[in-house]
Amino acid sequence: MSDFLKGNFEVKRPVVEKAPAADSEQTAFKKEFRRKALQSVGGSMVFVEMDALYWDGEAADGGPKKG
Amino acid sequence: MTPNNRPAAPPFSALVDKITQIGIERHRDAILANARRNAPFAAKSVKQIPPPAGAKRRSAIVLSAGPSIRRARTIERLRDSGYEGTIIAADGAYAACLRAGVIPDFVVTLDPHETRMVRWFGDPDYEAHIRDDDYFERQDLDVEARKNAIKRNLDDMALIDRHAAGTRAIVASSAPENVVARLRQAKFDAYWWNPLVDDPTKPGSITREIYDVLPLPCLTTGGTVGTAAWAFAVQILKPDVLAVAGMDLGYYPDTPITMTQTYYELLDMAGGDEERVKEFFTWMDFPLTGVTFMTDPTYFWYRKNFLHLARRSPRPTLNCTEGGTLFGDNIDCVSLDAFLAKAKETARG
Repeated sequence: MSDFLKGNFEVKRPVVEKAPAADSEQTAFKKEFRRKALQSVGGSMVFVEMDALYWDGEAADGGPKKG
Repeated sequence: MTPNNRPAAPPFSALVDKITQIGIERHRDAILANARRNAPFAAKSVKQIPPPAGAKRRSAIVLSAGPSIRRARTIERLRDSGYEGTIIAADGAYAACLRAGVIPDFVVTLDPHETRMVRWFGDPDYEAHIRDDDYFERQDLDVEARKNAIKRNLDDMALIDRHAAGTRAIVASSAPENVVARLRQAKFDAYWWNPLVDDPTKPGSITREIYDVLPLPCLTTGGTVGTAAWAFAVQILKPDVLAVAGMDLGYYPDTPITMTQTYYELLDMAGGDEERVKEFFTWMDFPLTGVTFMTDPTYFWYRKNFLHLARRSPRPTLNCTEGGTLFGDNIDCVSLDAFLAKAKETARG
């Protein structure tokens, strides 16, 4: 702002720049809203593609018991 | 490309690719916290279910809560046929079964959502939970339920209290506190399992961490309770013939986009542009009827997961949904009547 106030006159009152707090809050709100929106399309549960349909702890040989 | 060679818009494909990671970020803390909280109640595991015998072993049907369950009158047709095989309801389809006079052998619950899922068993705090949430209004299961939601919830609670003893509850350790309390209040016979959410043999596995808290068998979920119910049938019940119904994983062509389950979230991603939001949908022709169904990224992701898992099943799955987007390798789309006839035939064998 101060760059635009250069001129051939003096202002009577000191200019106080508004802090960009309101914009930042709005941006943060938008970001948070978007994050929540994205989460809502994430399905009911985590699923990672793998071959096993079933797992029940370690087998006797220490290997996984997969179905 | 979509299965019918219709190109999906880039936003659609990009979002489908992201969903797995979104799910991990979204659910990690909840599923671990819920497993710890549920540990004292998990007295029996799904391995302790007595093996089905006779007609109950020869065939089973998984009922999901897709819109076809009402439009195709699936439950009523099942009831009228005198079907004697095993009936496994996803939680969202359970009350609809009871209302139609069908008592499922099993009801499966999975989702850790802390206010929504309990409605499927009759929610004692329903009015508080729906105040700022139109989730159930965007379910296409039952129009009457939307019109009179509060009374319907109370009626369902009473109905479920009367019939809970006739159905075994198949409860994921990820279930939220109010669902577990409601199941206990209604006196369900509960059998527990863990969701298989990642590779338990790898370091830092969430599944391994859950298993260390609760050493229960871990079943894949495909991301949704209907697929989890199918995996339970494949791995635990092992029927000779297994069918699914109400598993649309899509919307009928006359469904307004605004009534789809993630509309508001997708609208936000489209920058509030109602035209651009269509880029987050794709369309497929159901092979048995040629009717075109619409699907969103979440349902498409469920579909992709189910197809991946179905290929690993020892037997083909019969899809009796009579619509939707679920078709592919090791899935035979047949009418419900064809399945019921086959079940009757195998019951005699």
